[in-house]
Amino acid sequence: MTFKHIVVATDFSDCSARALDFGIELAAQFDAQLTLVHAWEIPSTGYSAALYSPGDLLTPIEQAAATQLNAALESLRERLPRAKSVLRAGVAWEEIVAAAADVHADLIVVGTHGRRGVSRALLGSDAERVVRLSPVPVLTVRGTEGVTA
Amino acid sequence: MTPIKRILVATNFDGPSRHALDSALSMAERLGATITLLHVLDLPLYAYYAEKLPSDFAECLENAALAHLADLLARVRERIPSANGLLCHGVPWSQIVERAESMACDMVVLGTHARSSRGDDLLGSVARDVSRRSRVPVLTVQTPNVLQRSTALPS
Repeated sequence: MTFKHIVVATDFSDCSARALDFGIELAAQFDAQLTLVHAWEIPSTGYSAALYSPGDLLTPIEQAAATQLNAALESLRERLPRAKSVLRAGVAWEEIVAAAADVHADLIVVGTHGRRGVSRALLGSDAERVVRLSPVPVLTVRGTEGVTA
Repeated sequence: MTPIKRILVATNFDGPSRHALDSALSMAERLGATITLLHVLDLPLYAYYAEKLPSDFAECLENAALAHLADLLARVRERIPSANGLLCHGVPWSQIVERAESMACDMVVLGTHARSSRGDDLLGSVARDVSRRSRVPVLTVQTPNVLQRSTALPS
């Protein structure tokens, strides 16, 4: 097994940062392309808000996500100049797998708990679904903080 | 971060395990890493209470497991001469998590199983529990024929 294109999912959490470290290490070792993927989810409150507010909630969310992803990519490129990023809207685990398919990735790296909480019993439902759904190998990386045996 | 120097490969000698081991071998060669091959012997419950079983029942199982592990390790060493093997007793996911940490492994490689009928068909329960609990990163390697059999996704 050799890796040519590695997709690393990020939600900008510390756990994602550790996953990215592993992705970078592997990309360097395998001389692989790395694509950083972030999926922003349309909040369910966005629908109800639309009933009484004509305001566009989604554009600001997407722009904020794009800004953060660009900053992450900029710092990533100091280590991997060829790195790219992809921003997608939708359910995280679906979008991560779809983004990986789009770029023909042969490895997905994902943190096992991010912003959705650190309960270990429930942790990483996104990560777990990525592992379930992905036809390519998935490296799951757990954050270092808040870990007890 | 530290380079990946020791890869723990858990095996129960089935198809998905072999597929995962193949992947781990290529990775180890590329990374200059060594491999620890781990088999966890999870004795069936009746081994502890069935009085009518031969008294050396557990020993027979252990010997069979050791023989399988030795065979597999010999093949692994053709490609990674520094590889070692380990047989231990217990609950597979728990042993894999513990050994990965105690042996300072940098990555765990697991195949997926098609075992459970409760919707866990794609991600075997061992792979699921290890990736949930392990502090060491876990590479889950899917087996193509397992994928073909899958249909429904969990909601």
